[in-house]
Amino acid sequence: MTEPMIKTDHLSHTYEDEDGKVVYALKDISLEIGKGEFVAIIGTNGSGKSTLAKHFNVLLTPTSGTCEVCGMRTDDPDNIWKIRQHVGMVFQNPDNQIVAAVVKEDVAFGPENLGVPSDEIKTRVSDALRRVNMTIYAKHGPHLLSGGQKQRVAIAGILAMQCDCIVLDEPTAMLDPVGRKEVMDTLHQLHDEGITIIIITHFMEEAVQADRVVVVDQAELKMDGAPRDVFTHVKELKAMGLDVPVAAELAERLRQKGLDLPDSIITEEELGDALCQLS
Amino acid sequence: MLTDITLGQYFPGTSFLHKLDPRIKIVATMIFIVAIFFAHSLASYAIVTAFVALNFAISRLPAKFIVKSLKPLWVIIIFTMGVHIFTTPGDVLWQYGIFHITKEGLYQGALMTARLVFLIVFSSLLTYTTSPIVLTDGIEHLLNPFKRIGVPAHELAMMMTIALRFIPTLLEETDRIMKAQTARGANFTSGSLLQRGKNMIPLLVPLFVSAFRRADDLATAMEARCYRGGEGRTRMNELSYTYRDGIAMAAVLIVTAVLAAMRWL
Repeated sequence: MTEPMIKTDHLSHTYEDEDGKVVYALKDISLEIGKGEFVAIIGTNGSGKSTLAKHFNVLLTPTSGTCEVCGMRTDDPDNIWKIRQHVGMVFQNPDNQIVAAVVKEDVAFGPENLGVPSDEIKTRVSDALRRVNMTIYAKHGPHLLSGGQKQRVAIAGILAMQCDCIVLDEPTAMLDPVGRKEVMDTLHQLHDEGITIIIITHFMEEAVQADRVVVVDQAELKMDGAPRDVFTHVKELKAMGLDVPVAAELAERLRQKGLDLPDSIITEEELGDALCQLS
Repeated sequence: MLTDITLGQYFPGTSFLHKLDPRIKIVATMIFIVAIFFAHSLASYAIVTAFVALNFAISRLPAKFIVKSLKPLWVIIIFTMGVHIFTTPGDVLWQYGIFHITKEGLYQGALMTARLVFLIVFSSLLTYTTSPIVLTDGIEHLLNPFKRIGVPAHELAMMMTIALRFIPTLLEETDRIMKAQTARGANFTSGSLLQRGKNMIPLLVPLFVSAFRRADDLATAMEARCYRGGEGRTRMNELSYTYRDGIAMAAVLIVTAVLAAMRWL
């Protein structure tokens, strides 16, 4: 593994419920995410996956254990703003994270907060908009954009801060299929440019596209590996209440019916190829 | 039009007035509004009329905008005219019971009405030719010197920006909730005024709940993007004065000086 971007060591996050009982939102998570990785975090509602993501950006700090971003500990208040310049965050609701009434002004919001000189902000903004393919919308009002376009603006806002890691908390949950594809294509392109991508998602088709899948269930880290290793555990994933990619599930059922298919099938292309090769 | 956010009264354009620095526009408008009150003689009113007309011509706004700006205030204009016509003592021209119209009353009424009309038309020129975003920027800069005495200039501007940003979003939301409640049998269009007011509750409650949720989300998102208040913040578009601003300011000051001279010299 390359140099770690994010490293958590026995990270736990607890809160007290109404009866004063201690509840674990995250329990003993040790995870290392290297620079330039493309990681998908999956889990059911309430599994703690969003809580985990919020630790990467110091929106939350561990109750016990540690979380380090680029070697900086998140529980040191002096590091908060430095860490947020490294790790940007995109949220679920595209409307509720756009601050300004014009696209380019919104992209400029981050660098403005960092005190970047105005000439440099202009170059950063046009560069960021170009990278998410939104240049022609620079002067639009955000309410005129589709959900996918709004999320790309949010991503551009992070790029303009020159973050090297983007954490996305269910960025596609409120989007239509076209918007979902736009966002995923943008993420792949940015990953190719060397940016670390951490995406939390409900859509297994998106998780399959990652280099690595982390499964969180009931506040604990349950699986961590390449999509191929994770999604072939169809039974375990189903037991946690998670979906598996359609191709993986179909392959599993066909195997149960006695067809001789390899265990490693997770995409539709692979399933098609394997079926064609059956004699 | 791409930049048209259909908010406020802004009429996009590229005229001399549109291109002025918002700070100059705000200050110049305030100065001229005071200057309008200097005018007392017919000659000085002629100068005011000419100056307002000249500005309107330079702005290249359609003439109907004059009417549009006066519309919301016509009651006040008529009332002012009425009060002056009927209450000024002098040569009685017409009398009925306690009502009487005097020559002085007509003269005063006409001047007062003209003064009000000029005030409204001139100040709406500011909002017609300046987008709300730029206006906010201008206000922030003008308030900056008062930070020392505790005026939260940046915070006010940020609140205005966010409000402007979320007006379309909340309008859309209102529409959506209205449809949802109508589908559940709510009635927003008929009944007495009181009844209609009551019927608004199922619209307002979800709207407020959602607005608070949005505010919470937005605060988190702003924090994640390193927002720490106005300290140490830079701007992408720094305001800068050009020769135009000098010309505009000089013009307003000269007219003001002339009006003041006519009044007191």
